[in-house]
Amino acid sequence: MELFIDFFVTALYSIFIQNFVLSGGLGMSEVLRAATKPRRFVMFIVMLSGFSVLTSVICRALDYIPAIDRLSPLLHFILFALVLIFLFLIVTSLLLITIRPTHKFISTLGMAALNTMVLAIPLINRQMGYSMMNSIGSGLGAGLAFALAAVLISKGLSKIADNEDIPAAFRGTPAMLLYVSLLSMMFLGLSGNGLFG
Amino acid sequence: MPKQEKAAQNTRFAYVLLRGAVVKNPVLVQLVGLCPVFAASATLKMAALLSATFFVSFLFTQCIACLFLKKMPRFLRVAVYMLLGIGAVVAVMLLLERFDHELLGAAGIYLPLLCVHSVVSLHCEKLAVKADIKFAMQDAFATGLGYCIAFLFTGLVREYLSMGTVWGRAAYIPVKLPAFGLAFASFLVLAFFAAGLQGFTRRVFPAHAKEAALKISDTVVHVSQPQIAPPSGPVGAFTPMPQALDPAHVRSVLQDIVQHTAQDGEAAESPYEKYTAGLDGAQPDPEAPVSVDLLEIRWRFQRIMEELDQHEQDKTEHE
Repeated sequence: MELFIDFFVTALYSIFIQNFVLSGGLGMSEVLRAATKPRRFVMFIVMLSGFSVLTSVICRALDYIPAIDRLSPLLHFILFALVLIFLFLIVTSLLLITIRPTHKFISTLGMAALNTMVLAIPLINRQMGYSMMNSIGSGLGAGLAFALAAVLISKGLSKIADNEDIPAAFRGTPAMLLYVSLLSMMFLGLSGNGLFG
Repeated sequence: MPKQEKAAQNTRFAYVLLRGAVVKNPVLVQLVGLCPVFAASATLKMAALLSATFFVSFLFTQCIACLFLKKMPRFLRVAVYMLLGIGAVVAVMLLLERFDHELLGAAGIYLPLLCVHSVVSLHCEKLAVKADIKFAMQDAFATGLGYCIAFLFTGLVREYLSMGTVWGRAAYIPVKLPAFGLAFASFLVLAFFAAGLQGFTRRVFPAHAKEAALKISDTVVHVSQPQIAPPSGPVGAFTPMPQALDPAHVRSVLQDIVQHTAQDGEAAESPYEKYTAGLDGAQPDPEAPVSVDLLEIRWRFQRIMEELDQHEQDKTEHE
């Protein structure tokens, strides 16, 4: 029960309080891309969540080895980055052998695997001293945080896209950036931080 | 080198520079590589560190991609870009460990994250592996410059407004706005920069304005019952067939559809009429959902075929 609570609370924390996308900016480019081109949205979220959970689990498991646990932050970063690369290569090779996916699928897989969010999760897990269950919750929470951010931005964009009330200079990208800024401010409020210190 | 060729090359570089740094600015127009700009542009020094690291890493990776990776499978290339990024980032981290430990600590996880920069993979995949080395380097320079300028100006504005300093030195400011030190403010600043750039592009390079505009695919999916108006005229009163259509061909297509949708029992009357007859003679509510099933479509096609037959018969008699 305690393990489940660890997992659940960390996932909720990652989604709503420390939303990796809207508070930390992790995977921001990918979120905006998913929001403006939502056709492969669900597939992308599944891939990203899968990679973030797997990377979190493998990196946390490696940290149980004392020799690895004692490594400097620089070596930890290199190790985690290599884990991510190998994981991507293994998954892609397996898919190429079994289902022979299209080039577009592989391209999407590359974007979902090799991005700032997936690499940042194990580094954050280590900084926060998360256990294995916390790490799984954090990995899954990252995927769901991504989905939440993409849905919020996508929904906002549908209102912004054809809004004639927006001044001409701010239509399009500037309006979207302002909207994302407001969303980010909202999550800042949820984390308990204030605007004036 | 002939004078004309040299002039053409200069023009080409100017065009690449304009396109990479202004019209297709990676931060303000393409919206890629936003993570470090969003989260680590609180001070000018930090922005300078991250943008310089990115610039060197980008030039290096684009050069390697153009020279050696053209024949490699795509998924392997993406992994190699990350490996090259790790090399560049580790070099910078080692230098900082030696000379400025404090700055390394302040960069946090955002310096290591530069190894998975989306600008690098996007430009290497779209351009470097398809172009010659000269063009690839020109593009890397232009794009990197555009990225660094946007990053540095964001850092400058945020540091000045939040702390009243520029590169750590006190500057005159009437009122400090500490909130600009928080992450959300970077998008606020970027929004104003993007608006300025958009206005500039529209005014100075109107030909490129459309190219620089934000492209949004359909983001809303409407899931609702289609509202179909009841047929107004007599049954079968359809608009005449366009002359370009061959009536015989249309009839054969319709015949096929009717045969494939045949059911037990002939539809003596339109299902729409059946539906309205169930309302005890009352007029159907135009707001009410109307279902058009296969039977209805089939029935309407039969009426069209009758119309076609009548039309041909009239035509023959006239002739």
